[in-house]
Amino acid sequence: MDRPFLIGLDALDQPYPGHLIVDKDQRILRHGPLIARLCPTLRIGDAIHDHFTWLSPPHGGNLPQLASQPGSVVQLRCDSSTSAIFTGCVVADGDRYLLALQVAPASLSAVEMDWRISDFAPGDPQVDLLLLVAMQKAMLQEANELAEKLADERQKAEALRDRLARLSSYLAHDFNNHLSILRLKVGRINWAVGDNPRARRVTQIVAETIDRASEVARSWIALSRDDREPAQIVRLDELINEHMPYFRALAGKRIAVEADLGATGVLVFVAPSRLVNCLTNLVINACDATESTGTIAISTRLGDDTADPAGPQVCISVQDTGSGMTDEQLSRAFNPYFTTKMKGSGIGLASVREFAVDADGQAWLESRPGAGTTAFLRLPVAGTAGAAGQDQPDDGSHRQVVGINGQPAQRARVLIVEDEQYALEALAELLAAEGFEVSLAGSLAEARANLQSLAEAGAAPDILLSDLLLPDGRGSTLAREAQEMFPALHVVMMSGKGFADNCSANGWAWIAKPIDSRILTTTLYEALASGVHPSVVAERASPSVG
Amino acid sequence: MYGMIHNGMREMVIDRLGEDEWRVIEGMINIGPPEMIGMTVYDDALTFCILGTIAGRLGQSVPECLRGFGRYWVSYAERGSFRSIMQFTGSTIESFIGNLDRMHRAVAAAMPQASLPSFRVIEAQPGRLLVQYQSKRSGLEPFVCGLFEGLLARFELEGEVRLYTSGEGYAEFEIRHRADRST
Repeated sequence: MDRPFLIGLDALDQPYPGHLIVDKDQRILRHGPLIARLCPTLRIGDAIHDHFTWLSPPHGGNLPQLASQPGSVVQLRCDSSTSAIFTGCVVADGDRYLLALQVAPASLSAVEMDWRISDFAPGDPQVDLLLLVAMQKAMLQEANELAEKLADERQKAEALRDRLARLSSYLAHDFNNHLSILRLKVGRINWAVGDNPRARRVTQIVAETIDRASEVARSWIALSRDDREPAQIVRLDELINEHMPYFRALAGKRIAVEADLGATGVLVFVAPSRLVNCLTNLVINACDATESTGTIAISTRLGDDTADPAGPQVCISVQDTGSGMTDEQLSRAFNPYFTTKMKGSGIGLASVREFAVDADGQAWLESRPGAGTTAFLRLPVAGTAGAAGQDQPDDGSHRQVVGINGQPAQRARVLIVEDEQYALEALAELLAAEGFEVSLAGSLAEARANLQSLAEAGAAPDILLSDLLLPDGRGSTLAREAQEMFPALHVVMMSGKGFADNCSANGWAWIAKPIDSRILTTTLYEALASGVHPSVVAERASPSVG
Repeated sequence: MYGMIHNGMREMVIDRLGEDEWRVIEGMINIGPPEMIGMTVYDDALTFCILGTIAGRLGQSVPECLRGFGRYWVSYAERGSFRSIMQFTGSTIESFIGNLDRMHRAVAAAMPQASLPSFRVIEAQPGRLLVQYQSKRSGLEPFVCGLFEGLLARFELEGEVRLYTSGEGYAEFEIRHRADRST
């Protein structure tokens, strides 16, 4: 071709990559590189309507007329790429017509849709707009990935912190157990040496050394103490209801979250934020298991097993309509770092179980492939002021065992439960010397057998003095069982691990190890003398022996 | 430079030497996640410090490491959230380099503190390009060589890149290429 339209045809390609040159019958004589890319089947000689749909004017209109009317705008849509809309004007040169067209992608996501900068004229502002939109999306994706990574790292850090805290706690517990034995024995020695000043000086030095070691253990406990929100009495249904908008926001629009709360007025003793975190993990898991749309149901129910030795329980469930889990997945679901998700840390369910155990409860899953999953969280119902037995009528039987100055008028019976043999012996020796009638048990099982024997003999114990952590269970479980059998029983818990938050809720006394013999005996006397259940944190500052 | 560069360097180290090696480098120069935020602009001194340390661990000179990173950068950018932007920029080496400035304009709009170089194709013949590079930074010519080498690989071309000439604030690179016979 010569130089129609007063410009070289090659010069058209850059400013109008989507141009068409047609004859009076609208047959294509030439086209720009973008047309070649979008319409790979287009051949010279094809009609416009073979590859394009006229949008304006409809049916193409009259080219000579369009060319003669300055300001006329034509618009075509490419049939093989419906995301491309061409807009421009018509210029005539004899019997040839130039459709000087610029392309406009139908979507701002053109960058992801196989478009190129070269498809646009140089300087076409659409390019900058599309690039900006694409940059925004890239930055958003980066921010999302970073946020996910941060959340994951935070969970890992919390899990590590929890493990370290637990380790410190157990170390402190064991250390305090040993110190407790020493402290009790030194107390006995001090009693035995009478007024011998040199011997008393030696025992004083030993006692002070024990105290300094105890300070070290206390610093471990402080290190291990959970500095999160402390546990408190919480109305379960109210707490969940309050957070339903948050759970719904987590699930997004495609998954409905419903509440079926049937534990009205039920109180639990938990850190509210930990329970909410727990439910958050369960809701997130339920969402991840749901591929398209679905429902998550959060329910609460009061347990109906009145014979449960652990006392009344409330059950929270989070049920989804997702893909379900195989038996193999179920068996590993609570393992730390086990995950079925591409980007999961595997810590969510492990932390749910940890929470349940810390709250003296249980967590478990029920699921079948294709039939969804239900996560259950069972928690003890927090008693009202005092544990079982407090509501029993006061027949004064407690006071009968207390004489003048708080000393037992008749021998009060104490069941001591302690797995550390030397500590058990030392406690037995001390309390026997103080006039108590002692029964001993080195484990939960032994203690249960002991209680049964006492019940059969009609010799109800007055006090249960138990270590919190036993090899075959928790002292708190034993205490609840024992108070079911003997409603008037006083409970005093001991532990070197740290503070046992639920003691006060249950109306039990509490003594921290290493045990000071004076504090121990005073606590027991107070329990017997008052007839109520004192709640004492024995972090007392008077460790002197004597 | 912006954090995406740091992330690219980290990925290069992890790919070549493993994650443990990256931890060693972090420890040596006392950096961590705060220095790796993709869309944050950092002091050039930090970027060069990271690069220098990496070069040492790889047993390379800094220019060698820069060139290697330039090659790696193209494949790194292709993998991540910028993949579609890379594709939008061009489907041939000539159009890609020719459109780089437009792409960088969008980056600059998103990160105004970023100081981005300019590229201009000043000669284009079949199998040969002469590209002018302008930047406020000096010493990055090996990186640019590596970038062009990475682009050759991206567009499945065999070829060579050499520094043609340089002056105050600019350099010209000659890219000779031919179709990769293996494709």
